[in-house]
Amino acid sequence: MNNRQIIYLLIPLMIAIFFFTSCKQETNVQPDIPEAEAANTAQNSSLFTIRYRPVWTAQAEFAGVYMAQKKGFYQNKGLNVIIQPGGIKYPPYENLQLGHSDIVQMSLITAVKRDAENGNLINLAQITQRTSLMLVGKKSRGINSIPDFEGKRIGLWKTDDRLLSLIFLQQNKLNMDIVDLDITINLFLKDGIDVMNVMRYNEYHQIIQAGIDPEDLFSVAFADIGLNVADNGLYTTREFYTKHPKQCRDFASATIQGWFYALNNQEETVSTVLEIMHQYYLPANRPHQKWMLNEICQDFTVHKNQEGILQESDFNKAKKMLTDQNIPATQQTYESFFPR
Amino acid sequence: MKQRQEKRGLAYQIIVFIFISLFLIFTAFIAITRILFSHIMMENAQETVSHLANETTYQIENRLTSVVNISRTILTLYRYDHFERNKLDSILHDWVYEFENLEAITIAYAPSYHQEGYSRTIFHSHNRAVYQELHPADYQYLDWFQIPFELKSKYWTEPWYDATATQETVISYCLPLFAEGKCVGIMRLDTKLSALQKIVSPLKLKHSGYAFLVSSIGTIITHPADSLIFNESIFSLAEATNDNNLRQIGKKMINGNIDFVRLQDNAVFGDSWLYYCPLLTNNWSLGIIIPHKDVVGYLNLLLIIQTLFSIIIFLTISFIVYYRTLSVSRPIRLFTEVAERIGQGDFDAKLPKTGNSYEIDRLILAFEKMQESLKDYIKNLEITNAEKNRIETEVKIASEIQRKLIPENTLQPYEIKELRCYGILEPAGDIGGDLYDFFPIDKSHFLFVIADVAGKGIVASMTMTIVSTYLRTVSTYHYTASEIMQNLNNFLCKQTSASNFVTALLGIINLKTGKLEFSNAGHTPMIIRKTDLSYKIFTETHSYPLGIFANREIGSMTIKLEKGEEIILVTDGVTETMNATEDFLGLKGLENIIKNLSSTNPEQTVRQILQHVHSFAQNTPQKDDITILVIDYKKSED
Repeated sequence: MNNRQIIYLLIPLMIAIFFFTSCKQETNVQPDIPEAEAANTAQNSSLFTIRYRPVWTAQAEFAGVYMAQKKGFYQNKGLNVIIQPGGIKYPPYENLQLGHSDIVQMSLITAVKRDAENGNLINLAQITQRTSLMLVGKKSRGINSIPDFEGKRIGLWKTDDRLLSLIFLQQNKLNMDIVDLDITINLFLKDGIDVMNVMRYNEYHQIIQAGIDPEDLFSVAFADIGLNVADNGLYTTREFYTKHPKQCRDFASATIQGWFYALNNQEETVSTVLEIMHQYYLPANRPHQKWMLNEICQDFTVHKNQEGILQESDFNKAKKMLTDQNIPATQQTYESFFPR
Repeated sequence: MKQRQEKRGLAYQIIVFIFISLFLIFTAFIAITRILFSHIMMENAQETVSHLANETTYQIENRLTSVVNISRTILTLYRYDHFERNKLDSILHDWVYEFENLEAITIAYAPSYHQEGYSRTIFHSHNRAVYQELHPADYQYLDWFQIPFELKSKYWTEPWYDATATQETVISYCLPLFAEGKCVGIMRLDTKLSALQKIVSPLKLKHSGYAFLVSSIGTIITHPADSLIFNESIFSLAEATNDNNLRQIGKKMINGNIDFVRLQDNAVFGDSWLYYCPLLTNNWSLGIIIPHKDVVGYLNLLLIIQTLFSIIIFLTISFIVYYRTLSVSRPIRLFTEVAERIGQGDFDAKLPKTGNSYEIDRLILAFEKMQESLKDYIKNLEITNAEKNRIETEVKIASEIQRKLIPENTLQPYEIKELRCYGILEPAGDIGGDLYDFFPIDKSHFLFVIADVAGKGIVASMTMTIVSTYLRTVSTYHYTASEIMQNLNNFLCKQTSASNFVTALLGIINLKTGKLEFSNAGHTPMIIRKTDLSYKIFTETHSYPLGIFANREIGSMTIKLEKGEEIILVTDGVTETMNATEDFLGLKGLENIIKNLSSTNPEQTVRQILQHVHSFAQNTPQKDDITILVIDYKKSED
């Protein structure tokens, strides 16, 4: 085999090797994730990622977070916040402890109660400074005063939010048939129960939007009868907080900034909330979200210039409410629970 | 000229009148048509939509009822103990497969009752039967289980998405299952919501009418605007548009009422009519919307046509009236032009021969007669006018003659040194009935007279002329005032009628002795103004006015005049002068004037009296002749 023959053999061989090599390289480069997500990841690679989980599905209750995200308040603090889905399938405390979320939103009562288990909850910011919980009964069902509750059927959520209602029943020495509820108000509308616990910002207005006038309802707002306690707050674990104190504080301050933006730009905020709800195919109407935002904003600004701060009195009150009911509560001090 | 411009022609006025009349008639007609037809159209619209609604609800009810009927059969099978569970499940699958209206069947038990397992859902998917089991935690608080379980009665759910089984949005008919008298579970039969939506959504009325469904709590189930479905309720729409009326309607809808109502200016429904009626099976409500413009669309078209017809009728009538009026009014216009020429004095202007109508012909005929009459009248007027002018000229001449009968005022009348005389006569007309005269009858006697003939005008003037001439004559033969007056009276009684009587005061002064004999026949009294400025008035009369009773003795009175005394004589034109308030000056007024005189000679006295009389009259028109004669006696130095 002369040199020329060897060259003739090598050329196709080299072409074949080049071809196979190029094919292999192309296979390696092909991404496993969608291009848009890859771009997003690349863009956010310099930002610190925080996974935030709301206590419920998207609605104006979390408007501050949405607006902080939309207006770039998180990004300005170097944060890439992923807003995780909320709802009955995603209990915030469990998700937090299991490490599925970094920061969650839940009520103060829930946090103080659940912290009895691990004692590692940190309140980063207190969003709503009073409870929106109410009991409502239909006047058409003979509910015209608190004594009329006696012996009637009351629907209470299965969650820790029922605690205030139970304390109310105990304080008023009311003996009622308790029916556990999940999410809807339909059992109340269909007269399956006589009294129901509602959030003023949500279910109360849903009842109004189902054709029952406020005048047809007898209402007891807990905030007005000495059972007031702060409600929604942002929580993380002590482990996460110790590792990333700056990012936690930045998340809290950007969220508060988002709430102030929502407070001052309610129409825009409602539109944003509706867009998000439509993305998740959640039923939504503007009047309801507007009502909800307005209510939450009022609860947000109860203590002027103290927005976002958990009051020590609220912390102690929540603890006392639980211990009075012989329910274990957090062992943490206020300073430890709400580090400044 | 301006007024003439503002007046419109006959055609214009008739057309305006017709326009106003037609406008009122057509407006009333259109308004009545609108009221009646809108009422009829509303009734028609209501009838149409109620038929449509009944048909639609019938279809929906039929579908829902079929599900209810199936449930009864399944319940019977369920209660039949001979079937094993697998066999029953197989039968149930066959039902689901066979009945188009049925999407899935679920039998779910309460946590406390699970001898046959907790729950199983049977449905057909991808050509095979699917049997799905769920744990109570997954369903016991869902509406489809909890509500009928708590109520222990049948229940139609709101639409919900079955994510765990059929992956369909369904509505479910749920009925409680009992065992030994206790509610132990729920049987659920699902039917596709899309099937109901397919019945309602294609409904179109008129141009843009549509139908929609609301659930038993007011949620919008079907609507042409997809964004409203499940998101909005009739109450949220009412809230969003701040429309309390819509909220009240919504309450009636979910309470099973039927009505046909107007929605005005709602942001979602616009200006429209809503018919709503209940679906009795599941307490939903069917609403049918017809835009108001669709309901009254034909009515508006009718009204537009009516209006156009009205305009055409008006224009046609106007056109006809205009040309007819022009042809009728042409002779009138010509006639008017001729009348204007006649008005300007051209009485020979020719009138149009015919006026195209009986009335105008008669008018022209009447005007022709009037034209002839006018011509005669003008002719007579010209004659009369010429006669009048002649008489006026003669009267002027008479007036001139009369004035010349009155002696001229000179410093020394007839060169008599003992006397100064000054008289003035202001006639009320061109010629008057007043007279004064003075002249010497011999070297030592001087006669003066002042007289007033009753009445005025030519007769009075002639009488006055007679009196003046006769006096001059008779005084030649008689030297006493009483004789002269008596003679004059008899003469006047013969020569004139009693109506032309004369009042007169005649006196004869003996220039040597200053003795004055005077006789007053019904005349204004004589006044003697003394040198100490006092005065004496002689009110006694010596006879009736002259020319009434003949052959009567007429007396006289004799007094002695002192040097420097003034004899003041006036006619009743002075004493009967009236001021603006119709008060007479009177004799007292005259006396007051005389009291305050500052004159030193007869002329001054006359002028001052006249000035005071004029001041009293205050520009009140003079009704009678004013005559004043003043004689100043100076005893002769001889």
